[in-house]
Amino acid sequence: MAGPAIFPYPTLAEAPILRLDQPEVDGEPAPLLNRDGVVDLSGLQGRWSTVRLQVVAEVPTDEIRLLPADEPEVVLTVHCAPTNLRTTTRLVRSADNEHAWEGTVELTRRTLRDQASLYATVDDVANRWIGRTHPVAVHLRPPRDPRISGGHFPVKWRDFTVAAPGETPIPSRLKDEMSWVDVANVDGPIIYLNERVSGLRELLDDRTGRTRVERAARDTVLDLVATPAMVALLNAALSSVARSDADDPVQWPTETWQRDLLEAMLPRMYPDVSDSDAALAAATTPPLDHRDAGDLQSRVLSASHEFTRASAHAKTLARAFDYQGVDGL
Amino acid sequence: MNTCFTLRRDVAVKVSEEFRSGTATVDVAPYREPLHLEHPPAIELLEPLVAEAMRRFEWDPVASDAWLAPRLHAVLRLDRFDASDQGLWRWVAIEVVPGYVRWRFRGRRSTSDDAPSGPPLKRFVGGARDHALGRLWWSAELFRDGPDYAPVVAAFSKQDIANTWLSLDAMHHRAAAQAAIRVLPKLSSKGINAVSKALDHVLTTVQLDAVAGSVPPDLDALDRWMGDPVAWDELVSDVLVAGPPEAPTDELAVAAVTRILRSVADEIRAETEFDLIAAAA
Repeated sequence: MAGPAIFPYPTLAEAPILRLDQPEVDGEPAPLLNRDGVVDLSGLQGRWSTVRLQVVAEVPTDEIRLLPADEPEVVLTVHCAPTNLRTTTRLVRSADNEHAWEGTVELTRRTLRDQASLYATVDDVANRWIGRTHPVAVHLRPPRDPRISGGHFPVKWRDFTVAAPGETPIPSRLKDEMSWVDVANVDGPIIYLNERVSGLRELLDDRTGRTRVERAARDTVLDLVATPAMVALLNAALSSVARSDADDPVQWPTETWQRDLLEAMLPRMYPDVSDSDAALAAATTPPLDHRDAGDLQSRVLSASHEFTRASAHAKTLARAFDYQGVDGL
Repeated sequence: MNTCFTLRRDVAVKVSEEFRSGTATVDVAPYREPLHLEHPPAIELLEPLVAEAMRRFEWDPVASDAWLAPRLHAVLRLDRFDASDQGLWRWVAIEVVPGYVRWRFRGRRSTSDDAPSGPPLKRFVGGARDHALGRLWWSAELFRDGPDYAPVVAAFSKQDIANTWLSLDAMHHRAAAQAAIRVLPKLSSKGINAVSKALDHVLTTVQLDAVAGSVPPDLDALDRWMGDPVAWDELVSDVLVAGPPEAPTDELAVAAVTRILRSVADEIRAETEFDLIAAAA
């Protein structure tokens, strides 16, 4: 097999951090980095040729010293699925900061479409990867991410034992649950939060002045609302375009929310499928057996987790407790 | 007038079984919009080109892929941004050369006496891996080595390479694509698919981008090529046409990835009972 890549082997416990700076469009400074984790080129609307960015990958050097690696290499990759583009830039260790590897990346309009990603990979002498930064998304068109609160899906507080005129009654067995999604509402889905759950409103209300633990706990509880809601909504959207035969035409939903949701989630469900039509075809092909059905639900769940960033929030919560010396987590 | 068009994706609802089998026509005007390309390709040559392929390979449509893929790429001179417009490919398949799609992918027969069912929908409206013409263009784009289309011909020497490997992320990496062409055509069908799975596993640890760099397209070279007229005589000559005058892939990079692929193939050969090497190799 290929060299000494014997699995398992030690890797970085924490992902390196990718920082981008000094964005330029065709040689002129431009505000492209206003959102965390995103290079937003959608406002340029085709009136550009080349975007240049300074890149720094910060690696937890102390950890690297624990690994069997002499001098780690750091490579930046630009990947764009719609244009099948994959290019690399080897970053150079900073003369001023031994934790940092630096370089410049150029993005050219004619090689990219819709969305691309940038990530840096750390590898050892055997070219085994030992760590990778979270990807930075490059948006070439306005992102279509639906939002859980506000935006596409309204979130409303109500007492789950009461139904106001026009509201769908909630089954009595759910009267003490934290949340419920009305997927079938004629005006579009609504996410309900239960006023009967003591302290929930205080925890989830949007206000400033929270402690680090409170913020982390709030994010994690919101994920407990958002993830199952996303699973339900995604399944509803897929059901609306389900096909009875693999050769039946693939049709996108007519409901705007379903279409937007699938546009946003299919790339997460099928990251190796560059074509959204093909991804929809894969997701709506009738399952042959329980494994096929299970595979689809695994993808729905993992995409929902990725969307809500549930794992990242859980890690932040864990770190917050550790930071404050709270035992038991 | 060589205007190109794009068809909205909901045109798929119009691509009926009757249209696919060639017993009905379809009006796609409501789904069609003109494309304003900086370098409009010689779309008027596409129909005669596929007609030539159908004439040369009348009894063996599958064998036409290796002949047509480089020539299709040389006619439709597109950059990757324009080529990734799936509406363009829908238009090409549904309006420009639907007869070719029906000829190349005839569909299944229920019994030996039945007429073929016609191509599956994906051959008209699918993505790069499935679309009847898009798969040829993208294979040529990903497997060519600068101006040299010979690796593209090699890629279609075995349908498993185009069918399986075109969908691998690793094939977006130039050196990996060239390495694949050096190793895969010598393998059997089972071998090609087994190496594909094993490589996927190996790349969970080996960082391909560190083994070998991958450079972006040379847009200046591409622009010069896109501005040149397409010579019909050269196109249909038995001598392979030349592609964009980009630099060939770095040989050291290709050699590095080839070593990985060969070791993967050797490992599988040692561990499995089936014959990885094609009988003819």
